[in-house]
Amino acid sequence: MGIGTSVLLKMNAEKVLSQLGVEAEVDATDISTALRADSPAQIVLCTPELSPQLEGIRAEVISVENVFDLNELSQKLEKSLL
Amino acid sequence: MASPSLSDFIAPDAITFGEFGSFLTASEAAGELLVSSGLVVSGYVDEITEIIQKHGPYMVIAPGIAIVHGRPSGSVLKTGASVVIDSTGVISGNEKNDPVKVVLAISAKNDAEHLQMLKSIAELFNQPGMVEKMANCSSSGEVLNLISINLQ
Repeated sequence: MGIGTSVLLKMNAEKVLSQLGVEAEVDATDISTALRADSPAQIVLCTPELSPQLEGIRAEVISVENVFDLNELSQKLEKSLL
Repeated sequence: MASPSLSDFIAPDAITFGEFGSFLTASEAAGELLVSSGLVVSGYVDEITEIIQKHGPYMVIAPGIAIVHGRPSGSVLKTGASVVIDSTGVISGNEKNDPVKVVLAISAKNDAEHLQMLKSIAELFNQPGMVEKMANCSSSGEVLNLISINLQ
């Protein structure tokens, strides 16, 4: 599940991160991968419906309401990273 | 040759308009268009239904628009997309992004085509106001024209 939406989020996250000058590796994964204890992620981006399922993981969870809004993504990532 | 744009992935008869009453009905209609266009077999529509019922309306990823799909399974024959437009809008339960006026159903036969299609979808809908513009179209020709003038 989430193959389409997570890839769209990944593409836009990569676009915004490069605009912010942040070097990052971004992967689109399913929720079970994001929940794995050995997940190396510093930040997990998801839609608000999925964020409750990600509570308690080591990574910072950022929920994105509008996947197509580069400003929202940029503001949230900037707040977290810069 | 230029890389294919979203309009190359949408089969000519895979755009429809109507009042669907519910998000599930609109999503199934989008899935049925993939079937009638020969992109997927009918089991794919059941997968779309199942994903929505099981995981809720997470696929409503921006105000007014949902991107629905089944699994990248044996149900997929070809990479493509269909469009359902309900200018009244349907309620998915995704409060921030309801009402849904545009439902895009996608099917992907391989990773390369899948990525190309999603890239094209992002390029189009990253443009502010695009969902509303598409919701206001009243013919397939208008939709295809909107896509082609907004994507290089």
